[in-house]
Amino acid sequence: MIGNKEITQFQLLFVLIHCQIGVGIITLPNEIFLKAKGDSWMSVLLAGIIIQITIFIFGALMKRFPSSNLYGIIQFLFGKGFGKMIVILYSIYFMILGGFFLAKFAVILRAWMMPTTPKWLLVGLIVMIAVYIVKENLQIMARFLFISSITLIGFIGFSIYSLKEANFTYILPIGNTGVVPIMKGIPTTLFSYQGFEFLLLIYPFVQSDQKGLVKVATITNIIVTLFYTFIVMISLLFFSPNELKIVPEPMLYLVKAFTFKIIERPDLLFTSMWIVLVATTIIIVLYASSLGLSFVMNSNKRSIYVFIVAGISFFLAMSVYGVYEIDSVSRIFNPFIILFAIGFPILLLLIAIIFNKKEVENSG
Amino acid sequence: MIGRLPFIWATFLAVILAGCWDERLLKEHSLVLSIGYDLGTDETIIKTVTFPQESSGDPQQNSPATQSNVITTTGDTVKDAENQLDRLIPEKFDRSKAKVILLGESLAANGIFSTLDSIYRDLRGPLNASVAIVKGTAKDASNLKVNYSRPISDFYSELLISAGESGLTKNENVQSICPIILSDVKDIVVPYIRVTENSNMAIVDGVALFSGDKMTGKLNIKESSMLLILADQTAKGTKMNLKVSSDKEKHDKNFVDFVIRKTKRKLNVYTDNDEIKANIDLTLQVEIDEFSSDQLYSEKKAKALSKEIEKKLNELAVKTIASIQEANNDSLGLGEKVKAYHHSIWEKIDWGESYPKVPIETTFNVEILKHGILN
Repeated sequence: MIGNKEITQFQLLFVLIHCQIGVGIITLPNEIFLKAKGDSWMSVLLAGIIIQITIFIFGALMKRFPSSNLYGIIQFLFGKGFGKMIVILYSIYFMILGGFFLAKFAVILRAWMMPTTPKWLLVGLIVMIAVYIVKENLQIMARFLFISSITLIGFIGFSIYSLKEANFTYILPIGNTGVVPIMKGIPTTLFSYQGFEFLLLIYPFVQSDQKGLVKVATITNIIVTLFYTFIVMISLLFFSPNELKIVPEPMLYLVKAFTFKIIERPDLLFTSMWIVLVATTIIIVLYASSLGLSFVMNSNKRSIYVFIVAGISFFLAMSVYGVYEIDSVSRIFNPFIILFAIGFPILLLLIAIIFNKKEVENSG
Repeated sequence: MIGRLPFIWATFLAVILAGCWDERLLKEHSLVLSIGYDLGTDETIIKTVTFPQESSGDPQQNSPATQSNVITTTGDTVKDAENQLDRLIPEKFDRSKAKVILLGESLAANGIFSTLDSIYRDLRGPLNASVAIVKGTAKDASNLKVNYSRPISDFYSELLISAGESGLTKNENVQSICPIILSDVKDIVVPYIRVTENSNMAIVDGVALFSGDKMTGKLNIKESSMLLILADQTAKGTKMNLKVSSDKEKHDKNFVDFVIRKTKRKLNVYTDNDEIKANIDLTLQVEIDEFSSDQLYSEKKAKALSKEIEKKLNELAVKTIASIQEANNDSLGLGEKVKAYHHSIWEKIDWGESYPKVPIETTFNVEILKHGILN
């Protein structure tokens, strides 16, 4: 089923960056601060190291199965029936993830930008944009993700501007909260980092060998980790500790505090850039889910499943209401992110090693 | 064709529905430009708003509004008072463009954070509005009859900005005070305005000192300039007037006026046997504006004058620091330094209690750079 190399290494870099940077970026500093206080930035760095280890594990898995993706590996190792069931679970996982992102997106957007616009419209519009791109092939998706990376520059620009009001004593003395809070902050960060498992889904489509893939993934991880550390650091320096506790979306609040000569509310501009990042995340999640369903059905027409998956995500998003409900949903769902993104690939590698399973050369 | 359908729908909806729910038309809103809060009896909130009066004359003439309407309402909370307002104004109340927020002295003594809470919570809250404390009530200040050709809101916001630019006070807005109120290591100072008795003039009268979110004292205008110098927040060109002698016959010959061109501050917080001490080292480069008693032709005389200025500045600084410590106002940010660099001591003490006892020493070093075009 897989044979055509659709995207280049350079495009893969941007796809992976968008996998990891998504909805959570504006809430991360607050979420992590509640756990790790002034040392939050260390949690972010440590989480980056964990991701790096995971990437090496992925690398080992990719070396054993150079031409089939995660779903193919699952089927190869678990057999047709059971394997397909797991692939369906993965599809459902991505659908729920999509619904959750959409719900969070709608809540934040309605709080910051359009308080009276109905939710179905906001969610519907972004789902339509996502569907329009996802139903095309990976190459078109990668091109869109590359273009939308421009928004990241805007993020960094606004953040650097806020450095002029930075107060370095807020994070001093370094390490005074102790090791335990820093460790507690790591899982919180991992939820924001989620998405790197997408590498396992698309690596057969990349014009590169296994070494090149690991290299690109590592570069991505370094960029993303530095980016997140930077964002968290900026928030820590700008907000006093007691303030950061009560500001749920620090990145937006930070931008709202400024006024320029021409732009009175730069947070609107900032939110618009963030919407692009949300769209890219939804695109990736829908792609992953629809790929799973079409794999299970042995179908070549992925675009039909895109509509199904998008529809389900839409209704999932509509069924979650309010800030507190989203919080409780994310508490229940977060362990599953760790399980599907890190736990399961490790299990696959272990099984492959123990039973010494390898892909037969030139099978595809 | 089926593939293009979602895209066509998305474009269609985006164009048709954009702003359907969230449009806010100017003609339906009254832009409130200044807001005043006072504490009423039974701890109710008295809210006074001013908004520009629409010119009743020739509609063709597009002259800016110079007159303000003033409305006062009472409520249990800020938002409650605001809801009362909707019963009085034919249009909808819109505070998002407010330029200045005035707070009555009694309200400030009771804590200001709960009053500002609704602004921080509101996505269109006027975070950039200047904040000032008014002696007496904000209601009286809003009812001020100014003879300038501008609305009362512009009058106050420009008054505060110009006072900030000339180094008398620091112009604070709603957002800039928020992190400091919430932090336990630093305190805010806010400009303090007094309205004259026949209520036709408003004067910037120094700064109000806060401890946490409660006003606990105030500084006069000279002390407030000194506080800014000590806190390293002087505006460029702060003007000062000091009495350097008292033996001259003519009154004005006893004084010197100068402009501060450049300051260099070193704040050193150190511990001595577990006791916190602080000293502030200041180097000022000044330009003499007026000094009629003596000619500054020799370097020796200039040195003597700068020595005298240093002495007087030090006296003022001691007085200022005594006032802020009495008000338990840590606007110099000593707590910040103690927490960051002497954390073991910080955890042992209650900063609110120990701060007023911290000995703070100041040393001044004045260099006379220029003296105009006259010696």
